[in-house]
Amino acid sequence: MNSPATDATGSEASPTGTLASYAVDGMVPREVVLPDSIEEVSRVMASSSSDGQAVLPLGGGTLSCQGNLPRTYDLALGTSKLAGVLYHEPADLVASVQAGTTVSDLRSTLAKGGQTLPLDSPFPDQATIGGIIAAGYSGPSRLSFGDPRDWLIGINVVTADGRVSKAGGRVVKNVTGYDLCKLYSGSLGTLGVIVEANFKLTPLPDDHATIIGAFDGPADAYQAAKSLLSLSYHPHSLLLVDGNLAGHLDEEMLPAGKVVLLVRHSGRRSAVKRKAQDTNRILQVRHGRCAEVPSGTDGSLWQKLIDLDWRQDNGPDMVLRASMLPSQVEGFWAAFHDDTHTGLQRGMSADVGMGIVKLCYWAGAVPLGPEGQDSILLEVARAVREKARSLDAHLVVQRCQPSVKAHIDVWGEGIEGLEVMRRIKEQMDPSHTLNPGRFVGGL
Amino acid sequence: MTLSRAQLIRELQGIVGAENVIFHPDDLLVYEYDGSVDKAVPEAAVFPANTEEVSRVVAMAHRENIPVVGRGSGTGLSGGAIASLGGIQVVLTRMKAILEIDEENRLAVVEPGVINLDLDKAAREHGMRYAPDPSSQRACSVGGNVAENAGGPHCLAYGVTTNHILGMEVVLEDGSVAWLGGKARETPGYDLRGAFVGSEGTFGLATKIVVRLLPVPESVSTMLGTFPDIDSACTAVSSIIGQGVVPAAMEMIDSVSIGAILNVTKDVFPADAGSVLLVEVEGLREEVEETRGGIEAAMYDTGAIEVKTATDPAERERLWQARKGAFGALGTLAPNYYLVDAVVPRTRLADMLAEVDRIAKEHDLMVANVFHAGDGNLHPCIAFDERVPGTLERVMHAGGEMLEVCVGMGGTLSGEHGVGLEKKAYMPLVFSEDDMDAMMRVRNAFSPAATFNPGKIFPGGPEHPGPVQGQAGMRAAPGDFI
Repeated sequence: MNSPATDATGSEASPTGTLASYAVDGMVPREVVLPDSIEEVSRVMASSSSDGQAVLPLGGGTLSCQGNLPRTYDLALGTSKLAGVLYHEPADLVASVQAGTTVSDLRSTLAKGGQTLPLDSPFPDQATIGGIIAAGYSGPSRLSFGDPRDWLIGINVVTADGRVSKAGGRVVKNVTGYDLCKLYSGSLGTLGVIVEANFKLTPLPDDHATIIGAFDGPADAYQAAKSLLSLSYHPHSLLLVDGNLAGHLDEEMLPAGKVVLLVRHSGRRSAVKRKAQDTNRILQVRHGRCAEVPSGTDGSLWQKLIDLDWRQDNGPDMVLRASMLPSQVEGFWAAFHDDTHTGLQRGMSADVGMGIVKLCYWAGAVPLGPEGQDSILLEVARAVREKARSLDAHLVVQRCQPSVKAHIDVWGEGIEGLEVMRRIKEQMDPSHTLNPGRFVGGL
Repeated sequence: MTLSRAQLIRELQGIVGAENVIFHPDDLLVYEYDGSVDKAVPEAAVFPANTEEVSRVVAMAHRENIPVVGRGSGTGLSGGAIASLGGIQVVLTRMKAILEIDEENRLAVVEPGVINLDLDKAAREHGMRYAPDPSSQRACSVGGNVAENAGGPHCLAYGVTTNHILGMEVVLEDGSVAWLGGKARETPGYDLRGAFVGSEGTFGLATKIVVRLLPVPESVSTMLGTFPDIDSACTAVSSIIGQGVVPAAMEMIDSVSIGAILNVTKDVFPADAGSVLLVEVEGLREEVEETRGGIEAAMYDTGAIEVKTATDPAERERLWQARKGAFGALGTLAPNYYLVDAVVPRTRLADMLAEVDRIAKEHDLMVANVFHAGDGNLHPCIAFDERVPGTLERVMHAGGEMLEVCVGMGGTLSGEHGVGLEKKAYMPLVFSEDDMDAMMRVRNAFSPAATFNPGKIFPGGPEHPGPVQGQAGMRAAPGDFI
């Protein structure tokens, strides 16, 4: 994990240890700065853009393996000193937070007012709000609660040339000016350094329940998922997980060798009880063996699933993320279910309702040494992408070794609207100061 | 423009057919206004039938440096569909096909001219619905909703238009056609879809729109709380939200508006009420019943005189029709109205309403309030008679003062109607030069020659008379909405 060091201050020359902890894809910056004010971010950006320095803004580093290899990397701009909740008024259901605030810190502040920002995050003690927005990260809760962009109502960024620029505001409904909050969300820090964000919030649910259905094969599991998704409500989360992936979770609730459907509900106690009953009935109709995760412990099971993709210890060597229509998931899963590659371990999961299938690969058992492993992973990534294309799905390489990235565009080709995206980048960051080369089409 | 007007008309006729171009000044009068206070006559209005025709019209206009102004049903409230600098109005009402309703993927693909309510009705035949419900939903188009990022009462729980748009096919100013987003939930790259929604027709013209559909809830309950005054109803709003409940909708109507509504719909609300609060909750039977009980208690605790629950769909529909027709009903009080679309943090609602009242009294004006209380989205509506000399100027000054107070409370200029022509002079109240510069850069990326809807949103540039010098106020009629 690239844990940000805390001993670097201002723009002083940084000790080597600190520099290494800010490495991205194996590339080490020449300097690390940890500004403690928006004005300082502004000064750093103004001088970097005029000096032609490449700047990579970094939060907790949990998602920093995303994206293409940086073309150059001069300066790491860490946001760890821009931390703290600026405003939380429970009766307004709104909060304002500095970008370097960790997800855990934000959650605990909001919980005091009985509220939450209902977004998932890997390693919430380390991941920052700014990082989650920039990465456009969403986990299984997206089925009910969408992406960061759906909750972001205002944003403050420092532009590539050092200007402080805001969009949106602190009210929940706002059409004043262009909705640049949407544009900054998921832009991987290529358009500006996010320094503050305002969110609308939701009340903390009274209750949660997670039901696990174990199936002998994917067909019944998929049909059960489809029935659950056609009810008059959406589960909080619904995830189809194969036996191989379950094996990497070290979770006794997940039976080995089975295809497992995990269904989570949240809300008022009475509603959660009814939804859990509906779920059990539907899973059983499809021959699933049902178990309910003991109340209060289901959060840690979901957190393990969320963390898995981004784990440093025993984490996957490659994660491929395919996006498609929900109705295509069954065919996609079937097309890959029996795919095997010598020595590679592979686990699959599907967010059926959102049309997202993830394939996680571990290469440790391939008896060829790191180089041989990488060449196999590259071959697999290319083959899966080709097959995904034939199934009308778009494949993003969410995580892989830098040596694999060197040979592949992780975002894929044929991206709709790329020309407009290119013009946006040219307008917002003409000198390509921010995260050069890491985003789609080499932006 | 190198073409003569006659040549321009002939070119347009060549693209869309002679019967689909309007150019006679008398015919164009219909297209000189929308639901706001400004007016301007375009050179021509064209009615394309498909994406290709839109593309050819736009490419020609771009080549000739003629502004292009998109128009749906013309119900907008900020001048977005007005050709303030002249040009070609591209009216998308002929493109009104619902191309696809996909039950399994819970989405629909529609052309921009589809009426909002027609989409909702079509979705309901498949057990789904389209959630954003502007009060003008019987008339307004989905394309217009996308341009303005329209809201509506039920956006409290479900979010505004942008939360329900998955993607769209758009025509850019050089006539090229691009997809922003798509049917799949995840598409890589910048969220161009999100940037386009609410860009008020300045980025391009949407020619196909993919919308997200939601399941119809199992149970719905609509409550009507009657309060002695507006302050106690505001306290009820904070109390309900403070309880950890976000209803599907929470609408407030003041005594002036109640009087107007009762002129049109008899007995729908108590005549002597100081205000009423219309609250709807949806979900599973169990949670609706539980939530309903909590809301009822909160309303009584904060001073409600009476809380009634609509018992059947017909009664619910009657309440909502009265609410959504409120602004039309104001036509029974005065011949004109001017509507302000201010948003404040929910906790400042009572303060803001007091300020609205103060400003109205200072200018000797009558104000009615019907608004989305749950969102903090006020709609002070100044009723007046434009025939009385000097009145319109007073109205505009009062509206401006209300916006200034609202921004001072941490609010903003527009919650759902857009900036357009009407509020562009006030943008510096909210945004700095650097804020607006970032927005202009994005506009330059989509539309470098500013072919689409020039002169809107941002102050300065080729000027159109600002709000204070605005022209005639809108004439209210029972068919008008907000």
